Formats: sequence, C-alpha cells, structure tokens
Amino acid sequence: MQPLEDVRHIHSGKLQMKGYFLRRFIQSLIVVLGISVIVFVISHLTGDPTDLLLPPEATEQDRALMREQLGLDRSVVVQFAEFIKNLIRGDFGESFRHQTPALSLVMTAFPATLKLTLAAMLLSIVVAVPVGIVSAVKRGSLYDRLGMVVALLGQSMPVYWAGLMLILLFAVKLGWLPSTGGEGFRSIVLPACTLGMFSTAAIARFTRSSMLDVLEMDYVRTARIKGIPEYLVVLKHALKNASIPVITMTSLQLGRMLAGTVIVETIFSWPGLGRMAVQAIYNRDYPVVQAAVFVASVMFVVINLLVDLLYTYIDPRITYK
Amino acid sequence: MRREEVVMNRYYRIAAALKSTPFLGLTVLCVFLFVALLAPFVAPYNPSEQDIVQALTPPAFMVGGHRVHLLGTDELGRDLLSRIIWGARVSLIVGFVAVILSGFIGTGLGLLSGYFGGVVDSVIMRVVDIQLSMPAILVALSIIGAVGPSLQNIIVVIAITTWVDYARVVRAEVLSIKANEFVDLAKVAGCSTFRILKSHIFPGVINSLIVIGTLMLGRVIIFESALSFLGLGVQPPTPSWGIMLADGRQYITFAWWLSTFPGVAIMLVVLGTNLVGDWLRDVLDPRLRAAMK
Amino acid sequence: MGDYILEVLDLKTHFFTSKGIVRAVDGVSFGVREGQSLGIVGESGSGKSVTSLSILGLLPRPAGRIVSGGIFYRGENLVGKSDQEMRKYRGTKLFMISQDPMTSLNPVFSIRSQLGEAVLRRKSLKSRALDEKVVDLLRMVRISGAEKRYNFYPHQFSGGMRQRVMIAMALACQPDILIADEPTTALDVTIQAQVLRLMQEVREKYGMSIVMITHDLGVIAQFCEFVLVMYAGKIMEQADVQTLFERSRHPYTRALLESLPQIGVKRSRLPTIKGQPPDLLGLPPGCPFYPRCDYALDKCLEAFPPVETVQGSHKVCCWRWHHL
Repeated sequence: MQPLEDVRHIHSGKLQMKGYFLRRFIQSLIVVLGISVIVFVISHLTGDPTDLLLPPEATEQDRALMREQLGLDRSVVVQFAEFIKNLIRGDFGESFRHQTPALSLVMTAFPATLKLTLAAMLLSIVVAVPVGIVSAVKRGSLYDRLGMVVALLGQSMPVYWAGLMLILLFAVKLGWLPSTGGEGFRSIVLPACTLGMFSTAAIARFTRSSMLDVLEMDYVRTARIKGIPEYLVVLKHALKNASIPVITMTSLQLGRMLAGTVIVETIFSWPGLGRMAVQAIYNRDYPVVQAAVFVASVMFVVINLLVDLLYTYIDPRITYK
Repeated sequence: MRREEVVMNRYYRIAAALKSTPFLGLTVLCVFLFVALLAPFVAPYNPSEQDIVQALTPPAFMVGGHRVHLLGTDELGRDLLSRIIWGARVSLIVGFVAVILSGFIGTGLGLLSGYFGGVVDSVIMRVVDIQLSMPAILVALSIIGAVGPSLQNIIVVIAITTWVDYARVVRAEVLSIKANEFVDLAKVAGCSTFRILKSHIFPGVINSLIVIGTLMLGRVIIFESALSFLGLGVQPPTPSWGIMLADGRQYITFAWWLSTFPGVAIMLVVLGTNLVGDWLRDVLDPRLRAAMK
Repeated sequence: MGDYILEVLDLKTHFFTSKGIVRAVDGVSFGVREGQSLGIVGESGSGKSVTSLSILGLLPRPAGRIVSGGIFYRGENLVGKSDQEMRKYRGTKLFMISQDPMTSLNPVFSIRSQLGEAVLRRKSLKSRALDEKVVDLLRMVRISGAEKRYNFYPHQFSGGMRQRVMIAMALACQPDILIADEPTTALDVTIQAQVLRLMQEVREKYGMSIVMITHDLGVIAQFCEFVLVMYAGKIMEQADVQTLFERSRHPYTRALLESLPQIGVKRSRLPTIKGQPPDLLGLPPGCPFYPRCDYALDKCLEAFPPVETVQGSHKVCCWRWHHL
C-alpha cells in the first residue's frame, strides 16, 4: 500500500542556513551604521565644543583656528563622512582629558565590564532557571508564591538602591565583602549580585511562565503516556521547549545589563566601560563618550547575532526562516 | 474532550484573575498619587527648609530620633518625609508625561509599521533595532549632558528612549488584527486608511497599550531617578528621589536612612505599577505574555 | 476474543471549577476484551475523552479528579494509584494516541529520539540496534524512505505521517490496550481511511485491544466491533456494531443515525437533533437528553433510567426503550 501523503523535501539545509546568516549579518551591519549615525548626532548636539577645550581667555581667532582644526567648519555631511572614515579605522579622536586615543582608553576598560556582565549573567541563570522550573512544577505551593513575590520585588527595585542596600548590609554592617571593585575575587560578588538582580527576577518569572505553558502541551502528555519518569519529562521534554523563549529574553536582559553597568560600576567604583562613560559625560569628553557608546552598542549587536546562531541548534524548526 | 478541557482552564484562569485583584498594588498607587497631588497639604514641612542644628537626625523609631521628624533629616536638616512626599510629585509627573509622550510616538509608529508593512515597516523596525542596541541610559545621559537637564529635556529624552517597547507590541497586535477579514472588508468598502486605523485597528490595540503603559510607568520612574542619581536628572533644589539617594550615599555608614527611605518609596511605587500592570495583562489579554519579554 | 482485560465500574470523574462542578463522567461502566475494538461515540463534551484520561491517570490537576468508581486492569484497580505506580502501566500496558498529531510529538526532538524512547521502555538496545528498530517501526507503518528519514523532526512530516509515527510509537510500546482519541479527525478523508486500515492491521497482527473514541459514526461502522454511546457523561446505549446500527433502542442513538447522510436516499433537508448541546454545569436531574428527546416523558426529568438489558450484550438506559 502506497502512502499518498506528500513528502516535505528538505533542500540542502546548509544552504538555507547560510542565506539566513548572510541576511542577519547584513542587518547587523545596517544597525551598526545606524548606531554610528546616532552617536554622531549626539556628539554634535552641543554645538561648539571650543568653550570646553580652550581657556576662557582664548580669542575668537583662536576659536576659529580650533574649529578648523577639528574640522567643524565644514558641512555636516562632510563631517559625517570623515567620521565614518575614521570609525572604520577605529579612530574616535583623542580624549580631551587624557590626550590618548579614545578607543584605546575605552578598550582598556572593556574587559572589566565584560567580566562583570558575564558574572552577573551566569549568576542570574544559575539561580533563576531552577527557581523558575521548581515554581512551575510546584505551581501554587508556598514555594511558588514566595518565589514569585521575591521576584516581583527584585524587579521593582531600582538597581542603584539595591546596590546601596547591599553595600549597607554586607560591607558596612557585616563587613564581609568589599564595597569597591577591581581587585580580587570577593570584590566582584556584590556588584555582580546587584547587576544581576533584575535579570534573575525577570528570568525566573519568565522561565516559570514558559514552563507552565509547555507543561500543558500535548507532547508532554505523550511523554507521560509513554511512561517516562516525571523528572525526565520536566527536564528533558519540557525544558528544551521552554528554554527557547527564555533564551530570547535572556539576550534582551543582557542588553539591559550592559546599560545597568553604568550605574553599578559607578556605585562600586568598578573600573569598567560604564563608569568611564559617565565620567566622560561629566567631563564633556566627547570622543570617549562616542567610543564608549559605540563599543557598548556593537557588543550588544554581536551578542544578538550569536544568540540567533544558538537558536538554530536548539530549535530545529528555525532553519526555515 | 478538548473543548471541555479548554473551557475548564479558561474558567479557572478568569476566576483566578478576578480573585487576585491587586488591592495592594492599587492602594499603593492611589496613596502615592494622593500624596503627590496634595503634597503641599500633606507634607509636614517645607522640603527645602533647612535646620542645620537638626541635621542628620535618625528616624523616629530609632535612638536619637523623635516624632517631629518621622523619617529623620538629611545633612542640611531638611525633613526626609517631606522631601519624599514632594519627590513623589516629581517622579509621578515625569512618569506620566513621559509615558504618554512615548506612548504616542511608539503607538503611532507601531501602527504605521504594522498596517503598511513593506518599506515603512522595514525602516521603522530597523530604527527600533538600532535604538534597542544602544544602552538607553548612556544615550540619555549623553543627550542631557549636551542639552542641559531641564525638566522638559528630561521628559523628552526619556520619551525618545522608551517608545520602542510600545512600537513593537503595537505592531504585533496590528499584524494579528490585520489578519482578520473585517479589515479587508473595510478596505473594499472604501474606508479611508485613517478611518480603518481609527475605528477598526486602534480599538484592538488599546488593551495592550493600557497594560504596557502601566508597566512602563514603573520603569520610567526608575529611569528618571537613575538620571537624577547620576546628577543629570532633575536638579536641586527640586527634591527628587534619585538625588536624595545620591546625596545620602556619602553618609551611608552612619546615616543610612537618607538613602534607604527614598529607595523604599521608589520600590513601592514600582511594585504597585507592576502588580497592577500584571493583573491588567491577565484580565485584558493573556496573549500579551508572549509578546512582552 | 477473550476475557475483559479492562473493566470500568461506575466511574465518576468530576471537574471542580470556580463556576461549579462539571460532572464530565457520571457513572460509566463498560469492559474491554482482549483483542477487541471498542468504539465510544458521542458529541464534544460527552465525556468520552475524559474517560480515557481517567483510565491513564492523566487528568488535569487540580481541577479534575476521579470521584468514585473503579478501573480494573487485569483485576488491579488503577484508581487512587500514584503517578509513580501508574508509570508501570503507561506505555507498556496502556497507551493513547490523540487527535492532533501536530502537537503530540515534541518539536525539538527527532523522530528517532522519540520512538527510541518508546522502544527503550521494553528493552535496552545500543544505539545502532535502536536505529534499526526505529527504521523497522517506520516501515511497519508504511512511511517511505524510512532509512533516510528516521532522524527527521516532526515538522518535516505531514499530518497523516505524524499520526502513523504515533501508531509506530504504539507498536514500540506494545500495550495491551491502545486508546485512540479521535485519531483521524484532523486528517483528510483519504488519509483517514489509510490510518484506520493501518490500525486494523495492527490490531489483527498483535492482538491489541483498541478503544476508538470518535464522534464519527462512519469510523465506528468501519472499525469497531462493540460500541458505547455517550451523552453528557453517561453511557446511553451499548451494543455490538451491527445491533447498534440496525436495532438501536435509544432516542439519541436513533437521532444520530438518522442525521447521517445516506447515498441513494433523497431528502429535502438533513435531519438534525433539535435543541442545544448540554451545558455540563447546569444539567437537569434525570436524563440529560430530556430537552432534546422526541420520546420524552415527565418521568425522564425526574430520574435517570437504570441500565437494562435488551438482549445479550445490548444494554440501554432509557425509560422508553420498549417503544422504539
């Protein structure tokens, strides 16, 4: 007996994948271009930076000279073209304050931020995912409700306040952990916890809801009908599906975390990108501001791209985009 | 059986949603709203009134504090409770206006993007992507650093950094509404685009807007206080919770209440918006859970 | 055909909702013999699917619960057993395939992995041998190109094929009883026939009892030996298929049969059953079919009729079965 159903032909899966990634890559490039436009616009909002660079006694002639030097007397379009050209070479100009190339300054601070962000993200996932799973499985129990209340609180707290409270508790009152960062393993604990607080809460809540959705699905029931032990049903059959939206969410959280480093690094005096950017803004050090914003944004774009890659390994349906 | 099961689950869900009307959240929000509106009458002291002699008194329930200053005083002798009450005003005003403004922008662009599709959609979505990739705080700080921290500037900057959340969800809603046949019918019947958007599409979007708006209020309040904390938000002498936190930082070892209570206030308000927003979402549109991350 | 391997005695499964108690299954008794094909027919909401979930112990908690009654598998009462205890029966003794093959298979695992799991329930095989067994199973259910496709994912198969995969899963588990809950409802008519034929072959070859749950009398006629007719949680009539179609004694069954379009019979309008489907939250006392029954009496509103034997295995619950 011949089955009459049509067979879905799978064209070379690899070819489709490549096309998909090419498109995503080009998209990312466009985004980076857009970022540079915005960075450019922002840094030219002040109008005339000569006030900052030159002492007050400077004459109008000096100012004109400086403007010419900085290329500010040319049209905006030309300036932008210059900007892009320099961008590609990695030249953001020199820091007004430190007379070193802005980009290299930024890159020295970058690893510290990366370290902090990764630590915070790791902490978040390690804590939040199990909490979310258990809450979903033991839905309605005291554990579940308590967990979700705590998560809600965590999402309602301003980051800097949480940081200050942690400092108050652990550094001032108990003296267990240092309140400023940079050196040693212990110094990363408080900043990482602070930075990760919001994400932990968000991921826990989302994991829970995602798991709840998945646990209602027919295929979970099929697994149970097969007689698969419950822990496998939850951790293998359900989790893999539930983790898909959680991963999207996590990458979004990562972006938010990058923004959060600005505040956390300021509070804990952590020598990272965020703190450098804030200092630069206070000091009107625009090249550094430009470089910092650009680097942070590009990092986000790269992470997103990587997450998309990760997706195709987890969800076999995605190759059809 | 399937229908039975689905019906059971739906009953359960609606009952649960109704039962869990967030009285706590609503109460908190109402209290703050009330306090903010009636600040001049509710606050025991003028928030700028200094009294150096009384500087750094602890809150009433601690040793050294007295009922005169319920939550203590700051380094200039100003009553903390009054400052928190007046700070509520600032936060809520900035919050509401910014939410409405960004709501307008975001909804408008989301509607256009979802309804027209094609090039318009691609362009707007690219802009969304670009903006999402840039850390909002840094962008906001840079702009305010450049143009100066006036109240208007702050509100505008917050609005232009937060419209994105509305746009994405509105666009998704529009797309799913558009898939319904009545939109095509309206087009065939000759309705103008504006009319279709206004009468057919927008009503379907309102639910989501209400939910997002409520949740965004909390986030905007946190955002504004973060800006103030970093010195580029509302400027003194206007009391803002963020500034109070920043100022209190230096005294944290021996006058912890200066930084703690303003933060508690922020947390309570945001908790309120989160509770109410979540409840609204459960009641108005459970589908939103997937769209909102 | 042998003795009863599954006996359901006065089963009552209720759902406890905030709007009230839904008596989804309200006093149902029947038996399944070894190798028999039993059909359960009824509209949506008649309780047929809830019955199967009750047997497997997979009711949605906390709303659903077996309130009373017994489910005896080879003499062992399954009611009240914990999840862990039920696992011994699930898969190897009892299995179920459901209506929607699209959602019954896990989208992120390959067919090989999912079928493999079922196979491993009965014996442990190494990877190579497992692959071969999976391919074997796919061939048994007539999926072409099995050697190449066993590693594919569910979304790469069509609906009919996915249902075959589910049947293959049943074959892997080799249960005594296979419950098929509307297995062909989501499929085209031509595919439907194929799947039914496949199930028939499986039944004959392995001596598996199959409980076929459906609303489609055509499927019943094609496939089943013995039939239960359910309405609003109660069994209205049970008989072997021939008797049911030719000599039914219940107004509901009669109405169902009459509403079937027949080739060669000219009619100006297709008869339907008057009234609305029952609202399970507000059932009247007595017979739930009362509002829609042409033979109804006042007596029918007062009390639900007891089970009466018409002849042999033909049983009916109606005050007026004599008059039909």
